[in-house]
Amino acid sequence: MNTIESTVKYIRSKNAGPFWLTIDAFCANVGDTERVAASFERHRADIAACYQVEPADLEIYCLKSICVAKISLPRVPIEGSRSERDMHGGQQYVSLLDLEV
Amino acid sequence: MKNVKVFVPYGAVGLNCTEEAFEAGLAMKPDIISSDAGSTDSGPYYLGSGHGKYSIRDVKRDLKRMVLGADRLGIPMTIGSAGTCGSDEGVDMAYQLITEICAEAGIHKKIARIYSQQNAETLKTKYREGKITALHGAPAISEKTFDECSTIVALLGAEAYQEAFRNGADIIIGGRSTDTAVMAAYPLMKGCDPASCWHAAKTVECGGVCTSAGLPGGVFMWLDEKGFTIHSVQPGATVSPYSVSAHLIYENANPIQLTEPGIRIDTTHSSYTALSDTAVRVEGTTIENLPYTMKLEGSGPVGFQTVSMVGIRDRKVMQDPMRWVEAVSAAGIDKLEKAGVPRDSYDFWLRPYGYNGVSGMPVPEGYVPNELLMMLTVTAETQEKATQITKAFNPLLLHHNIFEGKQMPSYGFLFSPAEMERGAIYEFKLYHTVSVDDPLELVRFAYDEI
Repeated sequence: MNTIESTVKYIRSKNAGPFWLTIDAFCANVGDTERVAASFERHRADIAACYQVEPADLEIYCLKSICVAKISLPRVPIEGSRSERDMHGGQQYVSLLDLEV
Repeated sequence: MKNVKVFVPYGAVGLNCTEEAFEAGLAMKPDIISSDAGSTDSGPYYLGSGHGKYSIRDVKRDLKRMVLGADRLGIPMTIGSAGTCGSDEGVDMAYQLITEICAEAGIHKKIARIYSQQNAETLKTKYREGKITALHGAPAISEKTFDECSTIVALLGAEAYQEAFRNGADIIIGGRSTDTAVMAAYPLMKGCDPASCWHAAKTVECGGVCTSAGLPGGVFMWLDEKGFTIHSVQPGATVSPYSVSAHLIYENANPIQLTEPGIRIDTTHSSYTALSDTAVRVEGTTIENLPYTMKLEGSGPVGFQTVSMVGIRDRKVMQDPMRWVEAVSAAGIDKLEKAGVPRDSYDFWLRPYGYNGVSGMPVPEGYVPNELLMMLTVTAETQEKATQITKAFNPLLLHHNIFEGKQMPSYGFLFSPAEMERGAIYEFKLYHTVSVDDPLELVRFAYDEI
């Protein structure tokens, strides 16, 4: 089974301001980029549930010119709330690694 | 053709760049040196307290290089979002350091300070007038929210910097600004293509990150009436259409459009062309005008925290760490309840780091750690109360026995005392825009010749 982890060259997550999170999946070619973006789309409901947002809140981009599939979503809870586990959002991508592509 | 060359030495003032990069940047004969200094990325403490993130010594080192470099070439300089959060305190701190630097070097400059910190009353009026709008993902607010913030800033656009230039400033210290405004203001004022000015400024807002040298390498942008060119600065470093275009997605929810006060740019039709290993030309970015708004950031105190942590290797605990976490939590709650401290008067979490402290999610089947750091964080109304509650947990963290018939265990504290007081903690409370009649309506200026 191909997963996000076995398909992408590099994947990262980061805050996009205190109220949004953004995840960038760098791929080797346009084909992989499209497959990864399609996988994000196919798993939209599961991804939304994992990050505690509504499916419609996920913004999925397929950026073919730079071979990046990207998801942006509201950050729950917001950055630096008293229950924070990951201030910069840098570890949030890990939840996507086992998704099937 | 009108053109402006901007040298951006740092990703943020206080983060440094190499000596070679700085000298190479000056040798490229910039018309201005600019750097952002701000971020919300390290959490709500900086804005809430008004304090900066970087050490004063590091900030002064970076400012000194900029001030002396700009003086050597006879050009102006700008910094934006002084003191990380761009509070009035941050602006005044940078001003103090720059006056020291000028005095030590015996140079004389006209300095502009631009303040963008807001008072709650002004914003409450705006709120009542319906001029405050929530951005997607914003928390619900009421008039009271403005009072709950210890610091509120409105992000400056390019107009405030241009006003200071028109008043003859050599050095401009901006309060909280959009990351791009501090770099875009001067070339915009000189008549360069507006879409390109904003797009270029977004590309260089993290300094050398859009080049192969990364953060310490600095970066250089040339703007003209048709587009812009990004140059690497650090000797040996390169830029490529990929490195330049890919930076648009970094820490940016929308990788195609960028909204700034009064405008939005669109990069759908932008073309990126390598002119050499060290230069990439960008053209074709489009721009549309929007009603003028400023983004607001607000942060306020939500209590005081005390932290304690203990290390455990005990193999029985390792078999099921969550059982220990739940038992110690329940015992602590019970003990405090009996001592007259109700559960709703404090907040706490106890997390096993090395198990699932970062994710908070279930671990893979059969996973048994070798050792763990158990971390307790208590939040209460006062520091004294947070510490008192943490102290109540202390013997439980050290000795709590969850196995029947076993002797009392002792786990591994790291410190004496075992508690650490974290002071006031803050939370972000605003993710809104305010519409203004004039870009300078909420902006204050101070000018000094030193």
